[in-house]
Amino acid sequence: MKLQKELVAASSVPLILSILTEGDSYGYAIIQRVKELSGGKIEWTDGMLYPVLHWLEDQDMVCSRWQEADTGRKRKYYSLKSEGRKALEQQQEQWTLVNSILNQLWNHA
Amino acid sequence: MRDLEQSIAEWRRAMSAAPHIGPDTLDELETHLRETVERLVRSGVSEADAFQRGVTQLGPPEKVASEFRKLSALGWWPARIVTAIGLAFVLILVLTFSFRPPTGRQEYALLVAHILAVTFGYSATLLLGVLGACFVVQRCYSDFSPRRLQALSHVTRNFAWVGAVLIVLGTVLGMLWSHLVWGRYWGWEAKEIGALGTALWLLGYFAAHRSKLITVRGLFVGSLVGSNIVLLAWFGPNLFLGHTYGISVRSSWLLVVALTINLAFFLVGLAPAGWLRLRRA
Repeated sequence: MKLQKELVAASSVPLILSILTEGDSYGYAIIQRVKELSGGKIEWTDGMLYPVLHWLEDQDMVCSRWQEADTGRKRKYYSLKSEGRKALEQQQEQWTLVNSILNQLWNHA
Repeated sequence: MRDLEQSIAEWRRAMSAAPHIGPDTLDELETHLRETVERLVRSGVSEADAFQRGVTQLGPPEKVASEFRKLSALGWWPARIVTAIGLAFVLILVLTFSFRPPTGRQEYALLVAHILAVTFGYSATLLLGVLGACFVVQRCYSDFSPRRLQALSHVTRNFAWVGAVLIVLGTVLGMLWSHLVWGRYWGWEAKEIGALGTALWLLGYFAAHRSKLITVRGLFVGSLVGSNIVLLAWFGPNLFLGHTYGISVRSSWLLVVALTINLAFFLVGLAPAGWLRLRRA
C-alpha cells in the first residue's frame, strides 16, 4: 500500500520538521529517513523535497548552511528554528486530533 | 568517472535553463544527485544506470522548476498586488489617452507621450516605495530568508529600471515639447528640477543595486526616500510653489502627511528584524 499523493503532500511539513527535531539534516538524509520510517511506503520525488525545505526557510521555520561533511562533500544542512518548533507543535495537535477522531469512528464501526 | 562528470554537467545545463532554479539550489540538487548515484553504485548498480535513476528520482527540470516558481518574488503578496496595480494603472491611462480625439498636431502628440512616460515613471517609483513600506512592516515581525531576499531584489531592480527609463524618456519628450511651444528646452523650473532629481536618484539607486554595495533591506528602505523625492517632484511645485500645470491638487497637507508616513516607515526600517515580535514575547 502506498499513500495517496495528497496525503503525502499534506504530511511533508510535519515530517520534515519532526525529522529536524532529531538534529540538523540535509535533503538526501531526510528522504532516506522518511523511507526508513515508513518502510518504503512514503516515497517523495526527490526534487519535490527542496521547494518544501526552501519554503520552510522562507517562513523562518528553518535555517540552512553549507557545511563540509567528513567525506569532503559540501552539503546544505537545515536546522529547526523556534518558529519551526511552534509550527510543529500546532501540526502535532492537529494531526493527533484527526487521528483520534478517525480512531473513534473506526473503532465504533 | 569522466562519463559521470559529463552527464552531471549536461544535467546541470538542462536544470539551469529552467526558470526559478538558482545556482545555490542547483548545487544542492547536484549534491543530492551525487549522493543517490554513490549509494546505488555501492549497491552494485552500474554508474550509468545509477545516474539515470538519480535523475528520474529528482524529477524533470520543468516539474522541479514549477515547484520552485511558487517561492519566487511574486509569491510575496505585496509584490503581486503592487504589480497588478501598476499594470491596471498602465491600462487605464493608455485607454484614457487613446479615446482623446487626435488633433494631428506634433505638440499634442509630444505632450501626451511626455505625460504618459512621466506618469508611469513616477508611479513605478511610488509603487516601489509602497513595496518598501510592506517590506518594512513584515520585517518588524520576522526577517526574510536569503532566498526570498534574492528574489525580492529583482523586484526592486525591475521597478527602478522602469521608473528610470520612463522618467528620462518623459523628460526628453517634455524638453522637445517645451522647445516647440515655449522656444526653449530647459528652464530650470521646479518641475524640471524635480524630474531631473528623480531620474538621478533612480540611476543612483540602480547603480547601488548593481554594485551590490547596499543590501536588499537597504534597497527597500531607500525606496521610501525615492517615494518622497517623487512626491515632492510631482506635487510639490503645484502645492508649494503655485505651479498651474500638471496635477491640480490643492491640499498641501495631504502631501505633508504622505511625506511624514514615508519618513516614519523609513525610520522603522532601520530597526532590527523581528523587533516587534521580540517585544511582544
